[in-house]
Amino acid sequence: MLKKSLILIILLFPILAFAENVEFPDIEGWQRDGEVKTYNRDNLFERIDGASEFYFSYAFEKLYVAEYKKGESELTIEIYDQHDPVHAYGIYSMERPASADTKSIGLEGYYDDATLNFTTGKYYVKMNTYQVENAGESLLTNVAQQLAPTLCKNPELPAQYSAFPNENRVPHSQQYVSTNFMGLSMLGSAFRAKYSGSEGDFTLFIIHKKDKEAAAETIKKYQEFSQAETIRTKEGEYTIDDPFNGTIYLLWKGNYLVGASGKVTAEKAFSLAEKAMAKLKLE
Amino acid sequence: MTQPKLDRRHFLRLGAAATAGLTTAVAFTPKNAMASSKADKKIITRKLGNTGIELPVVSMGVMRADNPNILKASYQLGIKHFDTAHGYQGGRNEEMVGEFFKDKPRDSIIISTKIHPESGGISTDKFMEMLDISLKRLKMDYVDILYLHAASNKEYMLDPRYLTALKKAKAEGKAKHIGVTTHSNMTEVINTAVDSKVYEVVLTSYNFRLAKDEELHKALKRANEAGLGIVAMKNMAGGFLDKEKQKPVNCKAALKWALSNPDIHTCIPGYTTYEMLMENWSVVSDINLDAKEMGDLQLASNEVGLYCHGCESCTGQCPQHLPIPDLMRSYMYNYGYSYPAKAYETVAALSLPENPCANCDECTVTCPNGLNVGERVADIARIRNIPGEFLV
Repeated sequence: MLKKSLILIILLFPILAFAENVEFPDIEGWQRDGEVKTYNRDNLFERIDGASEFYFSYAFEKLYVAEYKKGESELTIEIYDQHDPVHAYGIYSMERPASADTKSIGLEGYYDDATLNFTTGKYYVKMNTYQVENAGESLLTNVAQQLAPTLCKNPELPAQYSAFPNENRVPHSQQYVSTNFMGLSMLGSAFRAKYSGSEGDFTLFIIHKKDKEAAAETIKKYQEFSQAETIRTKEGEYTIDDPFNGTIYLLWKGNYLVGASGKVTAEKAFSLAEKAMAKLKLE
Repeated sequence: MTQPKLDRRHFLRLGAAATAGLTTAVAFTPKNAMASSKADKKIITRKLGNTGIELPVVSMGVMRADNPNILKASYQLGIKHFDTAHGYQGGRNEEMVGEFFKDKPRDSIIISTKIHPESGGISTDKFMEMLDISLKRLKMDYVDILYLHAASNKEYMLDPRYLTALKKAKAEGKAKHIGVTTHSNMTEVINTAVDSKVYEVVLTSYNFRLAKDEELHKALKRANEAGLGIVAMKNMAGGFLDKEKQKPVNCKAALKWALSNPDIHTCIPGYTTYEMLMENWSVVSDINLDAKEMGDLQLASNEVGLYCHGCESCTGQCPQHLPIPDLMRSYMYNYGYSYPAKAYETVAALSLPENPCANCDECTVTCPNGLNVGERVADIARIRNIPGEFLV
């Protein structure tokens, strides 16, 4: 029996972890309305229907929801556990509007009259109100500032984002695509940011692979997909004529591929890719 | 320098190659696709009930896509219907659809979106506000189909606030047709949609795992005969047969299975790669399951996967009076959803004896869906031996 139990523990080890500690704040003047509700992959659909698929693709683990009341006014806080900071910032960035005026809330956040979203650590927090005037700037910001440190004391932006050169970068355009970047399964996940240059708008992206061999395999498959005349397998610069995504400039070094797509010259693309690559820790 | 080489002519040839039966066994490259056939096969279309809309049987569920080039490839291939929702990706999904289609002929596409009232309910005015936000994101004056999102019961579907909003949307020209979506309790939802004489389209979960659901099939037939349009989603039934996610479902076969039902007018698989697009589109002119595909699905149906259907046929069968449905649910929490804390909590609450199956030589509980009940009970009962602090 003991042996079977130990085997079970070993088998379950990849998914075992110590229990986490999400605590909702007390908000002056507001009463908690009901118990905290939790959702997992089993029943997230009940809360956010088909939108849950997107959260799953960003490593969703659990959702905690608390509701508050003050007279006729309502406040809801949703705390999504997205497993790690890369995925939490990732899904936050994918839902962030292009026009968002981001603030230093947790790692980063933004608000409008009735809602406030922010990310910190492995969490993505979404707050909304009903019948509260100017909630974003006042009430929600205060609550968020109260809540954020309890979820993660010292949030840090995943290292890859700091590699994007600042010159001509569109503010607050950094995102993380969790899978099938540019519609291509061999590329996997990627960090990306938008830029505006003399030729027009373009995207710079960073693909991190687990090792140099994996990066080599990716570049090989991408060349095969695009029917390159010759398949190269050495680190360096590549120009890929992707039939679906247009001309793609790729710089491969070690386990990183840094590239550009859109309205950009090869010279500019590789120049920026080199700058980004210089800031990445190659393995 | 930057434009894709694969222009419309190439895409049409890709489409032709796809409909000629490009199999997933062939590495997908544009060259293979173009080389495999020159002859176009006829695209199968079906009328969407009495809406006056006729669609290819394969459409696109946009919800997981974040790359407008996927929309572009789909549109150029010939996909007409694109499905999104107010709540997908915080609104960015509708914005992507709107941005891509803003300069396309409006009558070349059928766009649907969905409004999901919050759990506490919303007013008619709030519903209309959400619709206006959706239309603004979509850069459109109207959607072809406006759905009430995620219905699972009659009360929600017939809530006067939402019926008023849907009718108002149609009266004001903001929606050409109104519908309802469902992924649970589908039979009741579909029958209610028919009886209401308000809803014109139903978007429902439908896949090969539901092959034995006679009531659902009756409801679909009834809805089709009543003139409702029927769109199917979740055709891949989760995508995998096993808990280790090592045995993928044959997605092409699964799509064909759904379309083999003439009561289904179109399907909206959600895809995020060109490869998935081409695989789905290859079904648009050939929905006949071949022997291998039939075999794959038969295997899938027999294999059942992880899902207890919750039918509770097992109740009362166990001579030891074990709560079998609860134990099956606990098993699913642990292995299906990697949620051992919930599995533990469920088992702990059942007050089982130390060795629950000790008095039986073999398990006599029979599951109509083929689950090995005895094996699962023995497996999951052991979770009580794991210290609780190790489980989340």
